[in-house]
Amino acid sequence: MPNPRSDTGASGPQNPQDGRPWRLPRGRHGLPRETVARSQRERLIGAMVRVAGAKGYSSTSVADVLEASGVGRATFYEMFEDKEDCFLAAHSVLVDDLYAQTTAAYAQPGPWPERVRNGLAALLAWFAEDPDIARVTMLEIATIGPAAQKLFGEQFSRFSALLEEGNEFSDLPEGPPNLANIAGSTVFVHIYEQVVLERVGNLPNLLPQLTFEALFPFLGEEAARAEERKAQVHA
Amino acid sequence: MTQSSLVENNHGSIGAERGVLAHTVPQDVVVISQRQRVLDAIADCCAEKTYPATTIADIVAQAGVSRRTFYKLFPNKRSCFEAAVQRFADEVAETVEAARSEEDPWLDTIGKTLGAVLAMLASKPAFTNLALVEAVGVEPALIDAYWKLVIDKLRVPRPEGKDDDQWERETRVAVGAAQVMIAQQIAGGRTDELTSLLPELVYIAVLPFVGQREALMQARLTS
Repeated sequence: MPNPRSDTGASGPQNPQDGRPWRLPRGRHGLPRETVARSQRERLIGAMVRVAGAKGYSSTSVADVLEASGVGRATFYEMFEDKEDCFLAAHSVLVDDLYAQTTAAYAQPGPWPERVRNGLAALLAWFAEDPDIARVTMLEIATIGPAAQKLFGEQFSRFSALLEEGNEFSDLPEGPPNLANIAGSTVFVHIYEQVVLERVGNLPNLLPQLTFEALFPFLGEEAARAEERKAQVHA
Repeated sequence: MTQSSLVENNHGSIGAERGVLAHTVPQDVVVISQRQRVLDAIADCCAEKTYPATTIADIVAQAGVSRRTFYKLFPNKRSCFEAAVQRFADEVAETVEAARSEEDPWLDTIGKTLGAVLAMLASKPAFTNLALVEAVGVEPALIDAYWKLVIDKLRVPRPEGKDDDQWERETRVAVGAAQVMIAQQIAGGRTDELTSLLPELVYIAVLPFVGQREALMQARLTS
């Protein structure tokens, strides 16, 4: 699968320490390559991700972002109202990319449990690839304020909604509790913990356990354990 | 003349509210100590502009106290924040204590207990936001500490066949998942609807003890 964050387009682990400016994923959002304005916006967003990922959002200034991107102040304020606006835009781009990768993997044909495993694998790989990006996506967003929190809540719903398909495969009558919400929250907690502990490289190792956690509410212990074992074989 | 129990000991700050006998206090007057007001104020300020953006000037303006009073109570903003989180944890623990029953098995009353906690959270949106959402940005470890306190209060026994480490891990994940669901609702501005999460919380709480189907049954019965 092509790695949208590699400059060369080659797949494989990216060295997050190599200091290259992070490039936004291309082609998935209809962003044309040629437009100068688009390119400047991308550079600003990329710089915001890099700086905020390294030193935290509160310590990040607009001046930091301008310096890291090479874009002028006037241009910044044409595109964004303030630091927060730029950060929220950057966060949205990241989450959209995560969602696109996850759903692409999830959509590959196969039995539902296998599709969930594939989606989870893509999700975990995304976070594992770049600790700064993982931190920006998961942690820094919480420090911004009510607008960001609302956004985060909405974004989370998109992901847990993917699991609602599980209700069709469960032989239990539908109704409260919301199993997709529970399964999604459990997966979230595990990822969050690794991000906080600065151990995102460990995330792919959690695939079997998280496959179990995501499937158990819908399929029960026996079936979920079987899927967990399959995930162990594939790791 | 004894002081009313409504007045809290606010650590000797000058000008503390004087105690009055309970029966002379009008129904709609609640005596709140300065410390309480400051803690309420930091919660309100954080809800409005987040912890990093909140200044001591903001807090004292909101609380209606002087800077001098603030510094008698707390050495800095962070210390005030931690005290607010602690007070939140104490209130949750008190709610659990009040709802729990010494006689009935905990499984029978967990629905009532969790319902009481959710109702309490819903009644204090600023504090819930501070403890569950803001705290994440300030210091993730804070949350760990006070959830341990709550788990302790709930007195959930360890299921057979699980060792300490495994059980602690599972409990932490379960509590974390509950926190995510609650935080998501708060973030979406639906703090007043928190009680709608009761089925999910009951499911998570009883699952290790009764198995999948029974947990679903019990969760459904609460709604």
